[in-house]
Amino acid sequence: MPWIERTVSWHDLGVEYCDVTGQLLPKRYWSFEVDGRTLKAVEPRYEDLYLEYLREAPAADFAGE
Amino acid sequence: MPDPVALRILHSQFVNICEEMGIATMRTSYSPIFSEGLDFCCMILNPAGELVAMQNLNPAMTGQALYSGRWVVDDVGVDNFQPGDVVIHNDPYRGGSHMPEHLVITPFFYGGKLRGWLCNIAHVAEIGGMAPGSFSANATEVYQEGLRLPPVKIEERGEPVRDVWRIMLANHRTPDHSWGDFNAMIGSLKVGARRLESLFDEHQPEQIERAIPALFDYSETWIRRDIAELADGTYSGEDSQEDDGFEQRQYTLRADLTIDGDHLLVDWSRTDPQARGAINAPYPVTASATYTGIFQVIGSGAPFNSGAIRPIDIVARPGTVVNVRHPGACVGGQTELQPRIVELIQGKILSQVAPERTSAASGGTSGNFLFGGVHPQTGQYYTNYHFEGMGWGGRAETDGNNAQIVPHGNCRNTPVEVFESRYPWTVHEYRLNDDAGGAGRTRGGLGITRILEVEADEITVSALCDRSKISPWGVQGGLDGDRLAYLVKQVGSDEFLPFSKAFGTVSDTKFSNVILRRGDLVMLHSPSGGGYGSPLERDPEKVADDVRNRFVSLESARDVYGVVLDENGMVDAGATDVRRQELTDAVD
Amino acid sequence: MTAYRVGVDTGGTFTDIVAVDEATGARKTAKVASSPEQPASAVFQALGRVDCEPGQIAYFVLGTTIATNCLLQRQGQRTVFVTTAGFEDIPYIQRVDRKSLYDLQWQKPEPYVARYDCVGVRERIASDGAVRVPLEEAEVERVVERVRAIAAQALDGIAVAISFLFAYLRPEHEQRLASALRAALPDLPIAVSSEVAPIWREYERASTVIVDAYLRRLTGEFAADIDAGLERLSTTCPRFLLKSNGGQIPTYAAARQPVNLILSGLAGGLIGGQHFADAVGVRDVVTLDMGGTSADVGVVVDGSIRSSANYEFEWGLPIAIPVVDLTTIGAGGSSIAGFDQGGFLKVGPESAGADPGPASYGRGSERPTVTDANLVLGRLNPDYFLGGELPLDPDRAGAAVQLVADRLEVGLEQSAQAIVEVASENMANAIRLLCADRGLDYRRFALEAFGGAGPLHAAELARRVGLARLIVPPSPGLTSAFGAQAANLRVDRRTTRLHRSDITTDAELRRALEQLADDTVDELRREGASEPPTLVVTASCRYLGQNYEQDVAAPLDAEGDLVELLAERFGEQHRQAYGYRLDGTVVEFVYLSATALQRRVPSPQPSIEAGTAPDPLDVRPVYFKGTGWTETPIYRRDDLPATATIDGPAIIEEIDSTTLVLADQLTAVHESGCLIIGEISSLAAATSIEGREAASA
Repeated sequence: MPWIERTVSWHDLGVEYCDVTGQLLPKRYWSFEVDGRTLKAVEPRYEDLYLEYLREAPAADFAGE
Repeated sequence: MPDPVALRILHSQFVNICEEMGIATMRTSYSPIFSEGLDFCCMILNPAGELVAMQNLNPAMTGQALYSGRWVVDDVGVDNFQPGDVVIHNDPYRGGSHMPEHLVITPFFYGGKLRGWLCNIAHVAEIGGMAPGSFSANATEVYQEGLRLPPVKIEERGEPVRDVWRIMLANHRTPDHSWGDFNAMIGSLKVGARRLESLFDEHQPEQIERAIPALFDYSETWIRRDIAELADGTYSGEDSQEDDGFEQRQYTLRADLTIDGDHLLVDWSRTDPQARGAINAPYPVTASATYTGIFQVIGSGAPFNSGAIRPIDIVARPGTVVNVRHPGACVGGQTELQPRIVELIQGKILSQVAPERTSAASGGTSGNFLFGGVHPQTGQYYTNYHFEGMGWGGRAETDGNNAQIVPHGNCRNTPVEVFESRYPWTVHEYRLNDDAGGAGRTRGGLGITRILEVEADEITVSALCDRSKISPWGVQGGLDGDRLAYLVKQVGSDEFLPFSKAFGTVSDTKFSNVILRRGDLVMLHSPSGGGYGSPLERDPEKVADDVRNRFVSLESARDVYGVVLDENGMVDAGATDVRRQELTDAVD
Repeated sequence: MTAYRVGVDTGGTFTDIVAVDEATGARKTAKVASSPEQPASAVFQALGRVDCEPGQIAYFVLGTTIATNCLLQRQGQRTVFVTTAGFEDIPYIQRVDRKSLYDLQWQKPEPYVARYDCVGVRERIASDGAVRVPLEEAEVERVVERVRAIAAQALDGIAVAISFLFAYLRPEHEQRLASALRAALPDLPIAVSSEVAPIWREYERASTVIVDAYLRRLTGEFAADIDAGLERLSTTCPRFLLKSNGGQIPTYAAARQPVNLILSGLAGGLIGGQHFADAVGVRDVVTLDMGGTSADVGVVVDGSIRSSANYEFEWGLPIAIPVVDLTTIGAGGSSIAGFDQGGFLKVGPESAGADPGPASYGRGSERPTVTDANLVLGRLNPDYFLGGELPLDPDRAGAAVQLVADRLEVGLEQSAQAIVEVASENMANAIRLLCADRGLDYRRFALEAFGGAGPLHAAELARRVGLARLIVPPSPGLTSAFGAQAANLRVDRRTTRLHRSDITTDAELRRALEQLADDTVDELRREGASEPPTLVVTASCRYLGQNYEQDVAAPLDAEGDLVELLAERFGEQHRQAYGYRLDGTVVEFVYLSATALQRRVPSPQPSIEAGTAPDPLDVRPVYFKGTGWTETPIYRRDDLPATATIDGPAIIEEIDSTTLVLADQLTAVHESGCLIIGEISSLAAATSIEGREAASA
């Protein structure tokens, strides 16, 4: 469950999204594992948000889309 | 925590600086959207990009204020900023809202150290793209909506980066306005930096840096306490955008709002997939509108900063109407999806826990009507971004206001005398729509009708609006308000028709680049607010007064409100009792 | 025989009078309680109290809140609004924005006209001034009959406000209808937009004309009461009301355009402030007039009072005529201290008013106010408030401020200090924004403080905003009344004409300006001017495409092309205000303005005798931030001779006010009686005080 630094080339203008909230994922993001999957989040507290609320809401699970 | 009085004073000094930046922007900008419309906001961020204070002129921009600066700093990298650098940005896919909204941001250094950021976000009226006014309802990709700028430096160490300027100005239809407006925005950053410097002179930098987290805590505590006062539970609701300009189908927004103690979560995941047309919103736009809906009900008066939103989480699934993925078109998300979100949150969802603080639906559309062409008197190219006021929804105690701008914005109208002096139109009427407010114990406010005549050989027009099919809803037994109708009467025709009938557009409310000729008439009929509570409970004296003032017709008074008036317009109490009983029985 | 110029100022609490000896400048003063129920009666009570015979009055000027109160209490006359057909709802549509972003319960301002009294007329002027739809005679008759019918059913009579689209470009339709109405209904008060406010923006113009019509009867009656009262005293002296633009208007003409009286009660302070700034030789001042419920902040720039055409009576109800440039905030001695929902201390805008007033008045209120905080801090003398006429109760003040202390969990004095600081910060914000909005760098301004409460807060405020010098005029509580009698006869006219530097010729621009100048001078004559007036003509300019303008003086006697001259002057002003100019860009002239003045010969400024500072009258502990309770010398203002200097901290008391001087500040007494206070550390300020004293010696 670490902070991860993403390195992006200056000519790559693609973006990634936070698996919990749908926000843009910053260069430094929080990674956590749940149910055998690795999820990317903007900050650590979203791990709790995922576990407490969203895990049980099927529509809200868009990780990896 | 630092001395609370010093903290309060510091907060008000921060806001004061933002206000001075706003004044500088207003007084030097070129487009009416700045100077009459005040469609911009100025703010101060801390070194991490969090919002410390803002002069909030427009709730539509709060999401950008909270996220865009932070993401731009992340994207460029703090180490790549030098004193005097200004970065410009409008990319919805890198933290922007819709492309007309531009962010300029500059680092603030004091004592050789980065202490924060100054920003200005403003709606620039013309940025190229497939339709004049950069507001095309027929765009399917962001590339058709104007010039897209990832975060790039427009000034480097205080000197303009000419290559970037030249690319921008070459892609805008009215480059002289862009030149003036961007200079006004950048100028405001300099005003802010000067004032922030004297603030740092006055206090110790360390003192200010200790105070900012305390200000965040202060706002957070306030909001948490307000949330805790609401009953726990999950509350849901939905509302729809009536079409996207390409297909006759609705796009439905669905929100599940959970209150758990002092935490509030809004989950938009069940919302429809993104549309082909330009009604989609990126995350900051959805966030803006969600916060607006919430702050209309709680947190009144709390200093707005990044601390205020800590107790609130918003989930928006990428690929849906509320979190569009590249390269979807999204200019209308900012103006049309926002009111839908705001009112869904306050009027359909929070109304389940705090009905006394919420309202029925307003007209719920910005009523965007864009036009451009060559002015017959000056021979110069012009464009304009026009919007209309409308009725707002009735509230627990008071009628909805007539003729007010959409709830997520706060722009002023352009006076008829200014409008006709600038553009080749004649305005024939500008009036309230009689009897159009949703009936209720408190009545919905009245929308507006404006009739315009083309005074040039041709004018190219576009529209992006909503609520022509789905009425602004009433609540608690109140009735719906009147719908929007944007109609045209061409020379030689004897009736006003929807644009779909007259010009074959797919949608009546979302079309672009229709050519009108001299003498053609356009009617912009804006929607009215919904009513609150049963019309049979409205004070008969108020109904009589409404009839006297033509807010309500005599027929509606009798048949909807059950109020019978005598020949002098006075309430006939006996007949009213009978009539109200009849109407009650008819329902039962 | 001695002749006096008499100025009266009616405030919410007190009515003040100042009688100035024309020959010597000596002043006599009095103060009585105001009489809101019968506005004229306190004026005559005050006249009775001041030691000057009615026969000795050279002229009489009254600053009155009659118009303001009429609007606040909505007691004006039922008004019919007559406008171009299709635009009858303009007073209801307004500008479609709102006061507060998130407040769902906010209610739009109610217009001063009922919707059923809004009447449309078939006619239309186009944006170039051409007649698009002629006003037919039959239509004139129809409208006259309609108005006659409304008047017939209105028990208390009506007034009429006429505002047609683009009437500022071509007034003839408005004028024809007005003449027809005057002929048919001779007693009807009629306000016409092309006369009252010939400026563009139809809502702002309509709002102004409606208010003008709405006020006519009540102000007419009030002016007649003043006339009758003065005649009963068998004086035939000329009498005037103070106007919102800082000019005087004879009572007989006051009801012709009562919209000009809305700031009558506030303009006197600024004029008085200007007078004393001039007396000490300072050209640029921020004025602070702080009384019981509010503080008015204004600016004097290069010796002149500025005017503003963007005044709003309340949010969303604009009055689009030139008025003295002031901003008012809810910060006064009676402003109440409380807490916002997040727990931050706030002060005002809620006020305890004059009754019950602060807790220390002992009239039943227990809520802490700014005055109570000052009493707790030892800054106010409980036995010398209003010269001892209103004893203050320190125990009640302490108990009230203790409520704040309990909540803040700090000591009583720290709480009182906090209340004073928050009030001071509110005023500081108002000063910064007022100056920023006008492109003025406030750091080069002096602060001039008056009103009963101004001098008590000014030293701290000047330090907070960074104003190097502070001026406190003599009898600060009476500055407004003094200002009323010092005002000039003055007419301002402002009109919208869109001229462009690339199209308009020198001759066209001159013709337009000269016409306006002539109209303005004519109006000043109708208002009683007998001598050739001073005339200032300006054009407000902007770069084509901009939306805000700057006034640029237009010298009609200048040689050469006036259009080019104005464009050049504007470019320079723009550069000074915003750092750049855009040469080669078309300049647009939006408003043309003219001000005609008949200056009064100023009464002499009496000098007080020179001497050295006396020993303090008393020493008492006063609480200061940083040093805590400090033994502080107390002086009586009347005892201080010119050239005396006093080191802070000090307190200088007089009947109607108290001046607080902080540590490290130096007070010098000017021969005009003004106190000049500067930071000792600021060498520049100290030198200039000495320099001025040398010059005046």
